[in-house]
Amino acid sequence: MPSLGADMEAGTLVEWLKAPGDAVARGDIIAVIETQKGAIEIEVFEDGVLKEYLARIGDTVPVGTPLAMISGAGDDTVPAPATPVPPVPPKTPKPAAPVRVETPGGARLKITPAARRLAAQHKIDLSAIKAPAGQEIRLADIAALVKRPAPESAGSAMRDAIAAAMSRSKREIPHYYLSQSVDITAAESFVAEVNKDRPATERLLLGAVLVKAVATALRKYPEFNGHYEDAGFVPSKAAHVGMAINLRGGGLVAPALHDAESKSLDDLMAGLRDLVARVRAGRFRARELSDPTITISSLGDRGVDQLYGVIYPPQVAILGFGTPRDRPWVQDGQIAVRRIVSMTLSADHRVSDGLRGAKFMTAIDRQLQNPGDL
Amino acid sequence: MTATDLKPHLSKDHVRDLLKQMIRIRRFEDKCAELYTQQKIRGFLHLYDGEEAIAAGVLPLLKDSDRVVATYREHGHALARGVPMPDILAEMYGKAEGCSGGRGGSMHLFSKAHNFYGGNAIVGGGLPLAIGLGLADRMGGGDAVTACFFGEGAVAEGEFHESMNLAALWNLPVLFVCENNGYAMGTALELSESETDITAKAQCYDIASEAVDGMDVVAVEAAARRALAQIAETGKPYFLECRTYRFRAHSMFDAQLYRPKEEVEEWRQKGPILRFQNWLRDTGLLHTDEVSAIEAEVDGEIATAVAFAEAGTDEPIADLTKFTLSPDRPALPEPAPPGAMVQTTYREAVKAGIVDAMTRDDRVFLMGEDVGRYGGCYAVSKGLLDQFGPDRIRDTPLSESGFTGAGIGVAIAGMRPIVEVMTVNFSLLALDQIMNTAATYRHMSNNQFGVPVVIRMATGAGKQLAAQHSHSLEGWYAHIPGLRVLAPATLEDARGMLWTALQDLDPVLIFENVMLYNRSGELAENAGPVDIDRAVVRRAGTDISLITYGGSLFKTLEAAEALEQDGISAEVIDLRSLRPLDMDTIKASVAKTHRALIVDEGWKTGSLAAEIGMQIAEDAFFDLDAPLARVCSAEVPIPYAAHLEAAAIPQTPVIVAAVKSQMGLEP
Ligand SMILES: Cc1ncc(C[n+]2csc(CCOP(=O)(O)OP(=O)(O)O)c2C)c(N)n1
Ligand SMILES: [Mg+2]
Repeated sequence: MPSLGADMEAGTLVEWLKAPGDAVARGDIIAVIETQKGAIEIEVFEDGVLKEYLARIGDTVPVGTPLAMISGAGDDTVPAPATPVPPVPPKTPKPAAPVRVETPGGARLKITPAARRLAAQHKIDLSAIKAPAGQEIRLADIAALVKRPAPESAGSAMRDAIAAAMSRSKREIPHYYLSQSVDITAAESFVAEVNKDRPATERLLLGAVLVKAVATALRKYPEFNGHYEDAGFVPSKAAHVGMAINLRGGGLVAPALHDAESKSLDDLMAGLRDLVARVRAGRFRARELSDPTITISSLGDRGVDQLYGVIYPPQVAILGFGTPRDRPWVQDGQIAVRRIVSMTLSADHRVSDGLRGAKFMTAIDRQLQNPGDL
Repeated sequence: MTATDLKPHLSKDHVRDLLKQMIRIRRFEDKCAELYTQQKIRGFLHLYDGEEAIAAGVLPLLKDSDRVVATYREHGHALARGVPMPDILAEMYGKAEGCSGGRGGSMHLFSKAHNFYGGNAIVGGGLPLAIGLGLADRMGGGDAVTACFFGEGAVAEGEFHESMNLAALWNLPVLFVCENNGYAMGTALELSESETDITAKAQCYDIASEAVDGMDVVAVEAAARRALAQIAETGKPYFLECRTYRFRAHSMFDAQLYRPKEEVEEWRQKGPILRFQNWLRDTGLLHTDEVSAIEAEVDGEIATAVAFAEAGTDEPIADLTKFTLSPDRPALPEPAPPGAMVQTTYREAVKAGIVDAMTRDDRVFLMGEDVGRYGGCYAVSKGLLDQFGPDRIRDTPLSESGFTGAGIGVAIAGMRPIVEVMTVNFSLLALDQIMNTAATYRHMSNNQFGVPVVIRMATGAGKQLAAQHSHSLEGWYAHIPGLRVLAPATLEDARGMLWTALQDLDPVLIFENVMLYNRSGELAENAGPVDIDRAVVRRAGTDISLITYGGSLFKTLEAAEALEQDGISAEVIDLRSLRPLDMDTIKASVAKTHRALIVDEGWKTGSLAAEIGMQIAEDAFFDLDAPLARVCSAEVPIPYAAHLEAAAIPQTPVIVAAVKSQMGLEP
């Protein structure tokens, strides 16, 4: 059964025009079939003798099935027409009876795709979010729930976090600034003395001494240590000193050295070393970022003389240390060469005044002149 | 004997050639029928049995530089023109080695090497193309002739009449060959024509014409010689009606309910091969064994072709979309440093673009209704006729399909026409040529032919021209692969896009919104080409991306300004290119603003806006912080009354309100 069109699947044999034993030649019409388009004559493309019918009048024969055998001139018996593999009729899926689409019951949380993505990034549990009925949750709603940027995202998320915190600080906190030069000759000699017999990995750094001096001074000046909340200032007993640490990929964080006032210098040093290593590796705990009650920032190795910090809300003070330098210094009426560092205080005027600030700085200075007592 | 001799010289060699060509075609078609029943060939298969004398009589007379346009029943033409049989059969097998790379099949054989401009499966669709090819030869001054074959069914089509008129009006060297086999599918000539004398139709366009017995190869050749000689002498078109008959079904699956078997049998007795063969035998010009030798040669050639097609390979599916557009694109011309700024208008900028192009490149010319003496229906080409003359500022009759098709043909032949269509509503009369020819040609011919035509048209509402002059249908065109669709909104783009579009190797449609023509502003006096690929941010913002183009751009910019007052910072993107869409720019903007609203003067349902919105949903879903929104035209034919017309299309306050509601604010 020849294929006369892609839409032809079968034909019904209605007439034979040649009988078995008849000679047939290429181009002869040997049969007539009925199709959906009407009766069509079947042409042979071989020369030979019609041997036998393989289909009967009235049979509906699929395309590709032999209708008759023709013996060729040279060869024995060949089926005619040439038989391609009968096409397997494609299985068409049966459409189901029409199904009514029901509107699912229950209110689904309306949360925009962008908000959903941000929530997923910060592992915020969407089921815990309460939105007023009919109101959708948008990006800004989720952003408000994201307190701190995740430490992994050092890129623009970090920048965004810094921008948000610093903008808030400058918007909300009336800063005042004080600056004082501090002689740290004694503190440096103390550190050198302690380190004399120690291996490099256990050496004390001046930074630990500064932390301890600040923490100790805070005992008498609690208005620089704590958080400014909605209800006002809440002082902290413990001094969790935030250490501003620059990240390799840009940006900075200031995680806490906890309970600095009650730790030994060596414990503080160990804590500091651990913190720096973890920060640089991007492995620090979220708590460490929200805990500090005061922050110390130092650009001591950058040649900067003075550093006026921006307070990290909700804290109320930040201390900045510049680069220690040898300077002419009058001591006991004599000019001497001493190691001098500039120390600045940025403090929240809502909580303290300049006079208290000055006294706080003097107290730190005093601690640094007697490092052995720390 | 040369082709310009008026009488066929029936030498032994020549008559053998004629007979062989006919037998070759007959036996090839016979093999095709067989291969079809074996499902080696699929789709429609229109065989030429019975009509061989026409191709055999006409085509060998043509020079290599002559051009051939044929129909879907074109195996005989391709064979007689010299397209190798293996390439033709491999094409029908759908193989990569086919003469169209397997992309066209039986109805679309192409061969650039043979100036064979394809089988065209749109009845009458090849005629405007032939007009364009003839126009290229007329303007280029060569002596090539375009032979255009078509069935008698085509003479009922508008494109036939438009083409007859254009050929005569412009004195084009085109040989029209109407193969009148008495039937268009199953409709007999007398059932479809009030005037069944086809030559009379050509004559009424003042085209020299004659009818010839298409079953007599010598008569056909003699007539074709007369025709070609006359075209050579006068440069004018010639019309040959060849009366013939098809022996087989219209296409394979055809029970031939429309004609009696006896009629077919009667014609078979007058068959061109039988008659010629008998005559050659009777006159002793060719002996029976010589005919047998021809048949053996032909059978050998066919066997080789079958083997070649059987061994053919499939084009990798990875190449499916290859050559939809040209893989090569000329680099954007280096813009000159901007000169002094001058006050101008959009209309003047478009005109300056045309003048630039025509001055720079003498292949460029402008054609369209009333572009010359009238000065263009929007006065864009006013004064250009005096500057460039009627050949290059070419007024056309009211024949959108005819002259647009001519523009397409002339571009295929190497010219760089700018076709102006008065408005997009009228372009629908040319849609066949734009869609079925211009957009398909490169891909279907497997990159043998490209269509570097530029078609400009006005679009949009606002001039109270009501429902047949005012629609914005550019989105429909943007649906069609194979086209580039541009919408210049600014003066820079009005002037500079044309330059780049004319350099492009593919068809470029430029839509000029009618409300922009009078817009004025400053433009560098030597403003040059601009890119035609990228969308541009016309106003930066952070809260929402407003995506628009053309006439809606300025309304959208105004809306953005108004929104600024309310503290909403809207970014406005001018699409510039509607196909392809620069989704990168859109997505980058949405990634920033998290909201998108599309302003599109097309109707909302199935609009370009819907496409853009869907692509954003597909690719930028997680950037969205609000549902997507659209401001489109109301779903009505644009009405005449001014207030209704204004209400029907996007307006600034509607855009402002839509943005506010999207931002969750009370509008
Ligand atoms: C514009 C258009 N309308 C309808 C068809 C469907 N069709 C294909 S062939 C054909 C008959 C054409 O007859 P004719 O021009 O006499 O050519 P013939 O087939 O006889 O060679 C028709 C109606 C088509 N291909 N194009
Ligand atoms: Mg016909």
